[in-house]
Amino acid sequence: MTGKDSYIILPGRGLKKGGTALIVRTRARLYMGADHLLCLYNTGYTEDYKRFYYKDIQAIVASGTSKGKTLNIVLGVLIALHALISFLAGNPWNIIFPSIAVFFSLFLVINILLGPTSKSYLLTAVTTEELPSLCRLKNALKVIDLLRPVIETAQGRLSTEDIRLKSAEIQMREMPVSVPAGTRSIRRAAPSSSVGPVSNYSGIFHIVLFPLLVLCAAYSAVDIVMNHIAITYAGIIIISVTVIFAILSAIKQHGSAMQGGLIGLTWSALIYLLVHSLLLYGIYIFTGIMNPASMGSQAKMLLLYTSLDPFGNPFLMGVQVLSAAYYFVSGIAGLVLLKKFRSSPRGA
Amino acid sequence: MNFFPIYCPNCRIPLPYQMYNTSGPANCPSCKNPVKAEIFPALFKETQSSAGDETMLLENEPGCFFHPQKRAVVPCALCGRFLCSLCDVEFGGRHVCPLCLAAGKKKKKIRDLETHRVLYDDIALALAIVPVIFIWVTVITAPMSLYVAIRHWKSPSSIIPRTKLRFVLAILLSGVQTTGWLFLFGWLISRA
Repeated sequence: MTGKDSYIILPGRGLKKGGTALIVRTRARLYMGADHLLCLYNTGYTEDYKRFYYKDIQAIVASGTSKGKTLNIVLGVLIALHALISFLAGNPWNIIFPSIAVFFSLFLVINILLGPTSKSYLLTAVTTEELPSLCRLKNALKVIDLLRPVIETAQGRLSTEDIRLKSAEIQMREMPVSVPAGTRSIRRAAPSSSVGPVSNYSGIFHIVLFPLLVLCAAYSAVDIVMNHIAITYAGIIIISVTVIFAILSAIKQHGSAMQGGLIGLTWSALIYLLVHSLLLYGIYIFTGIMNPASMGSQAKMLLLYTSLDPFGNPFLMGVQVLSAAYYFVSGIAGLVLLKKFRSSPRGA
Repeated sequence: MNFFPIYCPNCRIPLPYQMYNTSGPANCPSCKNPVKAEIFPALFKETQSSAGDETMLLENEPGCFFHPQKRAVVPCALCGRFLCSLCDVEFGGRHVCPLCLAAGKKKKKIRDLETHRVLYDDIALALAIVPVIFIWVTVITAPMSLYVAIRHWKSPSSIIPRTKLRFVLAILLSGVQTTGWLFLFGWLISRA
């Protein structure tokens, strides 16, 4: 056992979610002390501590999530696309695209080696604490196995049968008669606001967003094979409307009962839409710079941009192929996840 | 009883008690993801009643410092005041009074009450390394790093024991930078 002032590092490290997560990365780790579990949040220059005494810990729950699988699929698609483009493109792209594919492959291998992702929380009589460091299921299971004996030493031991029997008794005693056991909350109806949903948003903006993403995929695909000013105008309108709906969806999903997959998909779609728009705008400006005669007129510049043939421009081809694939995959995945969410009790 | 429904962290649907303390992860009935719910006896612990606090003082019995009419049950481990069960705070295996507890937190004398620490060794090291990419900034940041490292040499760092290596590295790096700047300024002055 540890001494009074020493701690044992527990497996797993992760990033704490929070308002400043994008600016300041708060790393989380767990340490096992003599009589308490220490949750340490490190911003790089400061540390914050939360202590959970073994005698107060009521439960530790860990659940696998699909985040890791989704990331594997996205990385796989990106690797395949970059490999494909590197075969099609000439110099110097046949060096750049394989390098990007190798870069993504490294992430894929690391993600596979780290194992399935998970979400975990610790429960005491007065608080529910998410444990960001236990973001991989194998680490969460290891930590539970390490903590079980010390918690049982502090609290005494109850057999699994006794725990289930006591839980069943309480559930039967405190629950409305018409509701089946173990399916509804009992006394404290919901977890604290930090973990429970606070809005009853049912996904109206997402219903518009995901078909629009599929439309963006169609635009990107058509833009590869057809060069017409009408298609360029249609593309500008479609992408602009999609960006607006992506922003509205990202705002409305905050604090709702939506799960990580749907939330992450919306954010990644918004980020990709902005990156795609910037890339196309960059190509548009670059084309103008290369043809100074057209710089004075927006219409001339648009015509010039429309006349660009992706088959003669590997970069434009790469951007549009990648975009068509990304919009299609995220649009369809979004529609599937949204259907699942709306048919669940949380989205109904 | 303050019973709390154990819910799936992923879909937030309460888990049936059949899923508690299984040998390995079981699938959540709602999201079908593997879930491991480890429940401990504290979940079923009844809230302590305050009946014992009402015990009144009898003749020749020691009274509580804060509630003279109540019987003292334990002395404060820090100040020695007699405490009744209401004033007794069991903390880190010791019995302390609320005043010592508050003073300990304010003066950071009780390590187990600290919830925040500034890592001066990391700050000193960052001041010695990061500004190097901007070169000229080190005129200011190198002495700053030296100051932070020397001023906070004895300040408590992370609650997790660590060595003074960061401070040593910061002093070495910022010392080299400061010396370099001093030589440069000396050379410029000698040329003028």
